[in-house]
Amino acid sequence: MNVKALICVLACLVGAPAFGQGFAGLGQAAEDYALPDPATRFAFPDDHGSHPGFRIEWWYITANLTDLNGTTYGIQWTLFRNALRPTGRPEDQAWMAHAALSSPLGHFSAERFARGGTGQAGVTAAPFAAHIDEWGISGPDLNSIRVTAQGPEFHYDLRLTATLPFVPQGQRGYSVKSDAGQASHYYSQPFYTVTGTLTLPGGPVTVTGQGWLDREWSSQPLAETQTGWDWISLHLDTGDKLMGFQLRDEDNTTYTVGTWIAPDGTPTPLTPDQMTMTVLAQTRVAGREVPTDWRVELPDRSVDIRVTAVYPDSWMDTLIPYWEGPVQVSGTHSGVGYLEMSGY
Amino acid sequence: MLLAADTIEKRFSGMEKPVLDGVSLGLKAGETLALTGESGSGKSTLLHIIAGLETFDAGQVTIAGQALTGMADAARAELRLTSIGMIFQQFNLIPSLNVAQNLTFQARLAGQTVLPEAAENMATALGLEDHLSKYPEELSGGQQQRVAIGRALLPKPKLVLADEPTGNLDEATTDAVFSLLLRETAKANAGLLIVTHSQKLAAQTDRTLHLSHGRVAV
Amino acid sequence: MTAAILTALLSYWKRRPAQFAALVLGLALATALWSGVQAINAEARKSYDAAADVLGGGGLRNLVDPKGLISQDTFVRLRRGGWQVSPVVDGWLTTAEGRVRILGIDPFTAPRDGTFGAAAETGNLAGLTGPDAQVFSNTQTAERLANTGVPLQIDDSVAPGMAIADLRTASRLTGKTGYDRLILLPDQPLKQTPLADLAPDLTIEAPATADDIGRLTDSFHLNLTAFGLLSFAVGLFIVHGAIGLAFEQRRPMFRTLRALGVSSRTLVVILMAELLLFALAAGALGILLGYLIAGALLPGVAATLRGIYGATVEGGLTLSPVWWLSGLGIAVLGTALAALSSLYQVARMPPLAPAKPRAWERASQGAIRWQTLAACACFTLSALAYLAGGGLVAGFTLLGSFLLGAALLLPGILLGIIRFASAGARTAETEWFWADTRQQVPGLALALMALLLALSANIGVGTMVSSFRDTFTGWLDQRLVSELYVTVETKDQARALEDFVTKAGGTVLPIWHTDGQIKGAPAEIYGVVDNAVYRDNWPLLASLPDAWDRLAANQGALVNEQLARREDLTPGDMLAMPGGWETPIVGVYSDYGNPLAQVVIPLATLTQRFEALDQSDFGILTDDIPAMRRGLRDTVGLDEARMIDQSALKAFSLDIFERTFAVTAALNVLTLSVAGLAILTSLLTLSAMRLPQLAPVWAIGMTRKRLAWLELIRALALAALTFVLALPVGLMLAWILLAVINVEAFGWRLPMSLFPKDWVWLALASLGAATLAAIWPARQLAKRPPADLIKVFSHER
Repeated sequence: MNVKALICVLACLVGAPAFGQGFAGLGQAAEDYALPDPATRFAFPDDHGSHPGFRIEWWYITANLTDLNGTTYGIQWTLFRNALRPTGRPEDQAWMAHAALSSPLGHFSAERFARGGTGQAGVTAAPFAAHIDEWGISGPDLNSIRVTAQGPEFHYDLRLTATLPFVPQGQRGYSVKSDAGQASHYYSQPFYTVTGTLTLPGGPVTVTGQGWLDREWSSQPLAETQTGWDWISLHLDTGDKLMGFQLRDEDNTTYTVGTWIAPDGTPTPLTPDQMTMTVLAQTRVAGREVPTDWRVELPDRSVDIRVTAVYPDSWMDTLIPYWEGPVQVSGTHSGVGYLEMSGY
Repeated sequence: MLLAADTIEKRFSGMEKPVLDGVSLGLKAGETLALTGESGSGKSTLLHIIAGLETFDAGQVTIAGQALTGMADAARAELRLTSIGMIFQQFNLIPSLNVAQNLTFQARLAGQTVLPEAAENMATALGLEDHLSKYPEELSGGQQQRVAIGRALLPKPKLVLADEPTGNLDEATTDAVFSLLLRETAKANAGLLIVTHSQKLAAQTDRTLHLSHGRVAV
Repeated sequence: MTAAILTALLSYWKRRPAQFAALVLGLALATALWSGVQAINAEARKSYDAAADVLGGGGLRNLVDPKGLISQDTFVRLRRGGWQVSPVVDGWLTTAEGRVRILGIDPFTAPRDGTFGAAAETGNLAGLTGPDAQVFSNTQTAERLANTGVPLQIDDSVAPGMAIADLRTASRLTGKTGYDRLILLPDQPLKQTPLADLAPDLTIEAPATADDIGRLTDSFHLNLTAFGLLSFAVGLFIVHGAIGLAFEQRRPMFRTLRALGVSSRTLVVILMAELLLFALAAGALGILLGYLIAGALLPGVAATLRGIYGATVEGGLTLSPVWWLSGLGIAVLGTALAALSSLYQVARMPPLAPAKPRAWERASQGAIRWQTLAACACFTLSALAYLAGGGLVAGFTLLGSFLLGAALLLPGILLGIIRFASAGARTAETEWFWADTRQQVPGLALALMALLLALSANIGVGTMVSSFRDTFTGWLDQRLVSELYVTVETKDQARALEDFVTKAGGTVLPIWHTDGQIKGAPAEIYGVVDNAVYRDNWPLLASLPDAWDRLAANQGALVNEQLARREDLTPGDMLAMPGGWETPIVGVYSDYGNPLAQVVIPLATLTQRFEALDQSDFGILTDDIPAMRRGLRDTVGLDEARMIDQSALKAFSLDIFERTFAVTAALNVLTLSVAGLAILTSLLTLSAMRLPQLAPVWAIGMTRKRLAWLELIRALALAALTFVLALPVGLMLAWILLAVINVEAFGWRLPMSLFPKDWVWLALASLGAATLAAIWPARQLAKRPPADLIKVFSHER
């Protein structure tokens, strides 16, 4: 699950103070929107397209990349759809996108907004295409895509390919977000291999690496009292993938869930609080204390790892700011991944 | 009698003693009288009262038969204009007028026609013939006083009142100006009442009256 | 010791409250008028900035299509080509309560720098877009929109007269089907498709700035500033008089202090401290007064700016600390200026110097000779400025140096006249009267110069305003040819309107127009149909033969006087029109009150050549206005608010006109009263110094009452003479304003008319002011105790 997505999209929804009802209004009532249903089964490629009956939805890609010198980079590309009114009509949709590139030269980010129904932004399921302005994901299909985005100081153009099928998260794609039952439809593609070019202030860099796609849609993904969250997606060297997140509540309790994905793509949902996330160290970034060093324990699978930010300054200086960047994994397992933290 | 002052009393507000405490004097046409006394004896005040410049509290002043008592400000000014020549210690002249204009000013203001010869004769008599187009501030103190004498006498006043007319002059000039004053007054057959603290000058007049503490000293 | 000296010096004022009042009042008034005008100008400037910020997208460049509106497709194509642009719809909405400029923005892509305030808060997209989208305006503008049915949101940071809405709402309200411009955001991404490949029709336009509105209103503000400066100068005359008197009268005290061992440096420093104290106190008072003046005048100024220039200014004052400080600064500076000569004299005074008032006067007479020379230099400069010509600066140089020259020349001319008068004097009294008047001129010179300036400004501005009013009303009568003016909302309404009016026996005259650039400046292009009312009523200043026939045959265009003068165009010249075609000019018409260039072409040509037309305005010729109104309301469905008849429109225009000049009139009155006060203080100053001149006359036999009368008559005579001299100066000023400044500032030249009746009133006013100023010193003289006068002859002064 992808936190900033929720934050930003929902910020668009409401004029109410951002922290009035849960974080960024994510806890608002679903009103007349469609609600996630545990009985729903994904149907591809249709479900790669948008679901305008639901209030929010996103297409979200991260990639851990290295150049020939072994230098680490990370990128993210996210497109959010946010219904302004529950009509399902294109003109009642607001679109927003974030792109970022983490590098030794610094963390670059950009954001875009678009009104629905004009052609400025949109998604088609087959052949797959998603765009806002000149940013885009295009493929023949979602397992073979080209991803581009840019800002005033950076540009990237990457090819992502995967052979394994898409992985449903939660209970066969029904992902519960709180004890009160808030949930979303959620699937991933954690098995991309990536090649492409990054353009940085120092010039173009050829990179390769691993990518991860998240697709999620919902209408009220958070409980009213939940104020933010910490989310990880890890590529372990064993070939296993681990997705996990903890939702922080006003009363300082947390709700932690996740999915263990075997190298063949078989997902095993984690029960609530089966996994624990503990802060080891914080970094002062953008005037706030942000935990950039974590201990993640999953005793049932003998996992006790340290997840450390590669570039602790990976702050998204967007309308709704948050932290998102590549991480290094060490301990019982090693690997790379992405960390996203909101509500700090 | 040209001038008769009878038991004049004058008190300035805020002063304990009267300035003049029953002073009387008389003056005939063609006669000269010197008023002497210490500073503050009231001699200048008496002169100003006779000129109608100041009012008085009690007594009677008569000039050429006209009583000053009860006379309005305008009438007193008229009397001064037509019948009295006034000469002060200094600043007698009108700064904005030249010597010729100053000389004839009072006569013309009184409505008299001043013949050019009369003015010229007067200027010559006073030794001012070369200074007629000058302005007062360009003259010496003695010259200024001579213009004042001429101005006072040109309207042919019956009475000339002089208040320390040479008080600001050096000794030589004093003598010259004073003798001019006596001579010209005599020529006009006017009565001359002169306030001075100089015994030497007083000695040249027909009579001397000495004031002390607002009274005539015997 | 310093404290003791200061106490001694200050004790003087306690005994002379009137003099103290004159000093403080003069300084306060000077500061008040100056800072009041500054406050008005600052407020207006701020409003322009706010408006320009929004209109220009915060100083960003725009993409525009010279031929018309930009389509949504073009916008999307640009965005997808990597161009960060944001569309803007910019139009007008006319309601019964007034016009509102509607600015439609795209909250999704609008610059996020606060330019558009809450209207571009991405956090409230649901409220900003969609069918019930909010429209943002300030409180006053909201009143004009109250009956439109749009959901209003008060945001007082929105520029006055403007409403900001979502693109789609704005398109609906203004009837526009495309975007007027695309704001080019400052941060563009790394890689873009070339603009020429995406939208070859679009061009990049420099940002709109406050200067665009500022340029139009510059002359108006310059006008105000000139008045402020004039009043300040006049106020300084008062202060100069009061300080001069106080220093003169305290000479004995200075002498004593010097004799007691106070150095001249210490004395000057302490006197400066005293003056600084006064300047700060009076300055503070003046700033408060200035605030009140500005507050009282601002609504009128705002109405003017809106009426004439379409520039909107807030009715309320918000003043910065800088304004307050600069007010105090100007008070201190003014005091220093006014006290300079007095302080210099004290500094140079030998310890035991006697008073020499007449020496001072003689020096002044020398100064008058010098002044006359300076006046000649001013006139030369003025003539040079006129010959050089070109530009508002030359115009104001001409005006300023002429006025200054006239003021400098005044004492010399007065002396000449007095000399002439005294030569003809028959009696001793008149001879003395004139001689003495002559002697007083140097002392009164400053006050009389102030009076001359105030009077000639009054005559000049009055003549200009009245000439303008005469011309303007006559012109309005001719120009407003239709009996009824209406604005329709939809094309259907327009068709229904034409049907109905024709059936009802009336004539419809479309008043359609578009905005464009002609010779690089904004211009209005109007289309007219060929109708006899135009031929019969429109006054043409210059034209080719059969100008109207040529226009009707599409063989040319009419241009307004502003455009013709600015670009030096005459009938027969070719005019390049927007869209790359040319047409000959067949005539020039007067177009008072319009700051923009204007071109009139046949309606058919307008509709054929231009896409983005405002086709909502119509004039209607009818014999029965009430019946026509009823019919339009009932049959066509037009709101009453969308119809205005000729007389109402005329009244509205004249009302704007009158309000414009109400400000000028108010400043005129203030300046004149300040000049009156200057005379009073000068006379008071002189009255103390004049005893030596009056005492001998009194002693010889003139009553104090008579002397007082003569003093009063003297003041009146000087005021009357000054008025007589102010008359030609004022008329010259009016001519400069009408024939030079107006042409430079507005682009139109007005015929000058004379209004002798006004002069009579002004003469009475100035004599009245002089009487009021002279009566007090005269009364003082009439009641002066004889002892005071006698003292002159015996005391050392």
